[in-house]
Amino acid sequence: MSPFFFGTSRRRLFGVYHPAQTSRATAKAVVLCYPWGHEYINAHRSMVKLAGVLAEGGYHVLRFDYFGTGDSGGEAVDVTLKGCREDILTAAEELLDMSGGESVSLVGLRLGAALAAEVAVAERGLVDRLVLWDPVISGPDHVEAMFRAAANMPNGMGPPPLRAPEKGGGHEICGFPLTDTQRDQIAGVDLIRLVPKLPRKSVTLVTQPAPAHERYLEAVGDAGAQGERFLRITDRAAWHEDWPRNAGMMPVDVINRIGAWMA
Amino acid sequence: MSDRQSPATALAPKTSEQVVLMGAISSLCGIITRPAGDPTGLPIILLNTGIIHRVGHHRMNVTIARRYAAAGHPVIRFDFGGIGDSPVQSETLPPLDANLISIGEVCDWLETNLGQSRFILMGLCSGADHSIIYAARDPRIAGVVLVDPSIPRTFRFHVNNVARDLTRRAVWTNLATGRGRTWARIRRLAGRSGATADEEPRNEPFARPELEHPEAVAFLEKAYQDAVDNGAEILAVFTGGHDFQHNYRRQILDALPRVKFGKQLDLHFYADCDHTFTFERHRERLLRLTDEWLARIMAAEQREETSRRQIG
Repeated sequence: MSPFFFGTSRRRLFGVYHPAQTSRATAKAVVLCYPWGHEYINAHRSMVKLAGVLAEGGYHVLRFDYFGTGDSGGEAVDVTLKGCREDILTAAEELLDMSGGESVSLVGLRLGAALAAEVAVAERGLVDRLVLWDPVISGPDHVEAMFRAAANMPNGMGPPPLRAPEKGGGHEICGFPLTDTQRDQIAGVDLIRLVPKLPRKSVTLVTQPAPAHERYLEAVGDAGAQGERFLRITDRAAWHEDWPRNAGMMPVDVINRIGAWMA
Repeated sequence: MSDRQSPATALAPKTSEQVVLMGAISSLCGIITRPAGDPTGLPIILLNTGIIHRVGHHRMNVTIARRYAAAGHPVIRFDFGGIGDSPVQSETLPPLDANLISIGEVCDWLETNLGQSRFILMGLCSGADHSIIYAARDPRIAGVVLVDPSIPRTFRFHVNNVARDLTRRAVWTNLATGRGRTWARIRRLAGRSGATADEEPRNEPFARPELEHPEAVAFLEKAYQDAVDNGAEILAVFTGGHDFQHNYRRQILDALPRVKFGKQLDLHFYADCDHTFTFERHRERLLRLTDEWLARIMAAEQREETSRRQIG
């Protein structure tokens, strides 16, 4: 794997390129779209593993940090969903350029899945395959879940604190700032609305039950999808903290299923 | 650091960040954050916490790197082999041994590329453990920042623990109603079976009694003593977040009684902070403390340098 910075000097992005380990008739490329906030920290090692599995399956893979996250430039309060979507496009262009790939697929986890879906719908024709792994389906539900997670951390620390206005305001959610602007943007996520417009080769994998799943499943059914487009898998949540190890667990079955579906 | 620009306000548009690949097979992945001009501070090396990659919990290592680069320190955060973006470095060595070699390789890289030969190590939890063990082996380490390093529990730890338990209403309720661990223990001692699943002996799942083994104590005492003898200054911060392992400020002194820390240990206990410093105000408190400690280290280093020049 090759770690590097890309993007512009004003918006430097950190990425890791995993070249395909086996050759295919046509070069294919996959951009991994990370979750956000504490879920990113916990899920990172699962995404590394997934990148390796896909590279072994013959895909050129780029995983990268959105601006204001991970090793990329910017601060956490700088993150906007619009910026994240632009970063996905920048990453896709970078990967196609690096790999000589002719098409790009997106695999997103949690908020990253919602972002990937939005990009796939907005840039019709660009995205070959789309994998939505435990996607955020309803923005308002996700905001509520974030506040619930922050209030119920394993060490039981109570309601999320308010942040000072001079620091961008909002709340602290499990160690990360969530400004009011960011909260409003996340609350605007509506994956069900996008279902009819998703690329034909799309799949959703869920490991954890969520209230929005039934409505989402209905929408997938209404869109005339095949059964394979929504897979319930009994496995661990990559983005959950395994306390007190303070790290995420690796759902090997999900990762292998994604690898198999992409193949 | 009072004569410098406040790091908190100087989150540094003029610092630069670069990917570096280090180690024998050039695969230890790190990010170096450099000050805008020539470095005025010692390079700082940030170590992994457990299996979390170099960004750190709550992106704390990125914040630290940018803060101290803005204050003149080159800062490198990197992944040990098998963590984050670094592949396993050795198929044969135990992880601790491989990781210690990796720290040495990062020091070598900094010495070769920056021309600086004194370093600060910073680590939380396992990162703290690696820091002190490495500092025992390399006199280039000028100082270590240890956050919740592993130390044995002590008699006073257990007394504190019992005293704390006695302030909990649930303990008294259980005693009065015949429930809970104490009654389960009594029933077991009395040879009565039939304890419910809730009453099975609890093995204090997070505590590490193996650290109380004489060999472990001797190992830790040697590591700390050798680090001190090598001249390393130690900033040690313990949090209430690991109160299953430590619960008072001077526990390290009681747990490792043969270590002669002299004036090289700066010891703190932050009872209200959790292990990973989840809250911003707690992280800021830790970093303010580190600011002051680093300023003292830098002043001492400069005095040493001046006296070396005068002697030379």
